[in-house]
Amino acid sequence: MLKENISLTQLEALLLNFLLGSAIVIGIGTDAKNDAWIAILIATLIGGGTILFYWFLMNRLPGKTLYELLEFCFGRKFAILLSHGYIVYFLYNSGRVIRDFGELMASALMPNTPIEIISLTICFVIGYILYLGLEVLARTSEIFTPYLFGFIFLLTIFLLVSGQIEMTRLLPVLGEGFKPILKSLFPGLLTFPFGELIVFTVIFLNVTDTKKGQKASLIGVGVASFLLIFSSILMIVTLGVDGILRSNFPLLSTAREVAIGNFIERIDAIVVFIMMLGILVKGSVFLYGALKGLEYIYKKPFRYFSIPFAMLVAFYSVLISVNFADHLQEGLKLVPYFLHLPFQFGIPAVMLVILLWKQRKGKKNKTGWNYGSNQKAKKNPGT
Amino acid sequence: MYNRKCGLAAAFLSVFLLTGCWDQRELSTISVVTGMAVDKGEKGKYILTIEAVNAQELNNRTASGFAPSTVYGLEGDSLEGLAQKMNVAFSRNLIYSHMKTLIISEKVAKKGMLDFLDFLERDREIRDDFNILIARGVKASDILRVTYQFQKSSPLKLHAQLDSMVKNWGGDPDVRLNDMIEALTSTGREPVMAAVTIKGNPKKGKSIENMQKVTPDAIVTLDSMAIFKAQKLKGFLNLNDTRNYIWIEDKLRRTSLTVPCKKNHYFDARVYDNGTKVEGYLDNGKARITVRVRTEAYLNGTQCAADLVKVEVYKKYEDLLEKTIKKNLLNTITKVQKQYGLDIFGFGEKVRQQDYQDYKKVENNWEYYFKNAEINVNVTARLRRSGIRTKSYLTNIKK
Amino acid sequence: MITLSYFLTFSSLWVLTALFDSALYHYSIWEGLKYLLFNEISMDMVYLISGLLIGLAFCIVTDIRLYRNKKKGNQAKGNKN
Repeated sequence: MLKENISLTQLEALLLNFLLGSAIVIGIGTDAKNDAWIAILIATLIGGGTILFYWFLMNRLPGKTLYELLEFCFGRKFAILLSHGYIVYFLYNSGRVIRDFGELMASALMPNTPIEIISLTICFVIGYILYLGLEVLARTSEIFTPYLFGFIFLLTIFLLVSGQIEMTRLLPVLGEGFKPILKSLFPGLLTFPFGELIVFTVIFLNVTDTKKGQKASLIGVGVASFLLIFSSILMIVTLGVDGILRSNFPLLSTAREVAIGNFIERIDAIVVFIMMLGILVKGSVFLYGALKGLEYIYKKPFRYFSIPFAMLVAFYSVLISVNFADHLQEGLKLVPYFLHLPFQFGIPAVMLVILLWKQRKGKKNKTGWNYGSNQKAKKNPGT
Repeated sequence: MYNRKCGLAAAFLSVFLLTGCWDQRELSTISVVTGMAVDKGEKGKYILTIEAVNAQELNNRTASGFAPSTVYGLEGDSLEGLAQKMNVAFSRNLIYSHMKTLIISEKVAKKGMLDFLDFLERDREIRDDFNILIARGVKASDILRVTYQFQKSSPLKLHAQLDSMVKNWGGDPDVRLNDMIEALTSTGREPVMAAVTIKGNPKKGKSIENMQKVTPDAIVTLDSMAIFKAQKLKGFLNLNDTRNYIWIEDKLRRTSLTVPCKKNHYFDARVYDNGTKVEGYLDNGKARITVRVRTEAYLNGTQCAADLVKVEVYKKYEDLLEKTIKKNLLNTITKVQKQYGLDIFGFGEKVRQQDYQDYKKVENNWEYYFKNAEINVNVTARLRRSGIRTKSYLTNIKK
Repeated sequence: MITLSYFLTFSSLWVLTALFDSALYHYSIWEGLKYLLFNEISMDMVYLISGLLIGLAFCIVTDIRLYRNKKKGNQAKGNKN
């Protein structure tokens, strides 16, 4: 099995679409009301820090995935257990992301089409993409990213022209002070979408140029945050805070406001494209993370797992919650505390401590742990 | 061999995936709904009347003289239920996404039964691009029934009419669903709506013959502006006040203002550009609102003998214009303050944006502060040109 | 192996989802597990279940193929995978 390579631009495209993914569908930072954009701005800094943290972690043992790091820290038996946890976590997240999209389609676009079919079809696509490998996924997102920018630009122009924008809706800035912002930062913005970057620890080693990879991923996070802030401002100035709080899919509601001269209207499709691309990439990346874990545990190429586990994701994307309120409440109240925080920050932090400690010990004793040569000797990580 | 089997399996599976979506509807099985009217019901809560157009009749080439649309009403307790039940009378699937006007009867509005707006906002098919109107003094369903020569169906006519009205004179607050709900939920603003009525005989207006007359038997006219307290209709403002309202709201596009220059002599200023800013803050328990208006206009007709090549004359006219605008706007504001005490202008919203800390304290009591608010109107008006004539012929008329 | 992993992950996700549901709806975990799979009223579950079965079939087919390859590989003493 050959090592798959992705270029820096592809990594950026993946990061961009991943971060936009479901965040742009359901809107983030809404706790901060009309200061949501400030909250996202602050979260961007944290997001940048988060990804640097993950890079730092991965750079301790270059050329290894998260799972092999786990093995190094905890030993194989315990690592399998933790890996299984990560696999379930990634699959669960993938299911949530796809459920977001299914809800969007079912409640806003095709109410007569069962959500099961929507989930199933998109999971087939994801399964097929991953069957072909990470490179295909990376290229897909690279190809579609320019369209994403184009469509966001178009949406902005249309909104400006149709005169729905009222900048005064941003006022008063920081009316309630920093409290609501902090409230929306923790754990909301911290874990979603920025903390979810943990899944990229499986992908980092596929980047051709690891040295520039850090910079590239920072750029990716930066651009994605810029778009998130931009869309957040766009939503506030068109819908108003109250409008955002009352809509399930704020960006979609925003697009519905566009009406130019009885000619350009009903441009929901643009927004759905943006969302669909993000969801496709985000769902795939999560699934890929899980597949790599399976590859690590069962020592079989991850491709074999792709279709069956895509089906599993489709199944659970529907079963995750009974209704939309259930879905949202789970996402706001349970998932951040019980899944996001431990898996995104808890385990990695413990891992980092153990890693640093072990490496220091290794250096002191000058025993056989020479990581550099170890990495060179083992060119195909994974299998 | 394996690949071929796989291919076959994939092809077989795609048959299920390629059937298309559940939501497709053929063009020949749908009817487009252009207007909705909500009346108060006797047995149920509402009577919903909808108008579904016959597209063939709207096109002049294919029209054959039949009725351009079908209007039918049903009684029940909720709009959504009724809207889906409409097939008791209509043969095709009804499409609500192209609705142009929603007409609410005065009775419903006076009872404050606007809670059906939730359905309109929630439904995915209905968009936020239709006019919301009050039927003043007539049944809302009758307004749907009046025919008109050009657009033929009443909602289409009203939609175009209000659009032209806004472009030429103002007088329609141009309220959309989103504005309405924003006003309903905001503490610093009360909703308004345009009100229409029927001039003539509503019974005769229902027929195709109504379209064949130079002076129609019945015609739907823009009447006034309805103002609300929360969901309840409280009163009406006339068209001039409506124009002043949209002037303050900074929604004015173009209008024509008649200004006295001598006793019983007037000149007309065609306003073509306007910007209004409202500043507000609370000071010692009193709201102070400043409305800054900056208006550009050109003179288009004068009844006074004026030499319109001189700077002084322009200056004099500008002063007169400023004074009139100021007087008009102040009149409307004080009228609303004294008569209704309802902050339809959204001054509270402005104070909220500009003086949030103070506003938070009086938020629930804003109405009182609005009533006693000190209003300042600053007008800067510029007359830029004077049509294609300089001096008026009135200056050298033979006595 | 893949089939095993399939079942294992399936049940882990099942437990996780049931846990969350039981936390939200205040019933015990057993009820959660039961409700999740057997009390779902949606008629379109058929599609999902068929999807699951397709996945399962994939797993089994791959497993059998891997097994055969392994046998062949062992016989020819070549390397596989």
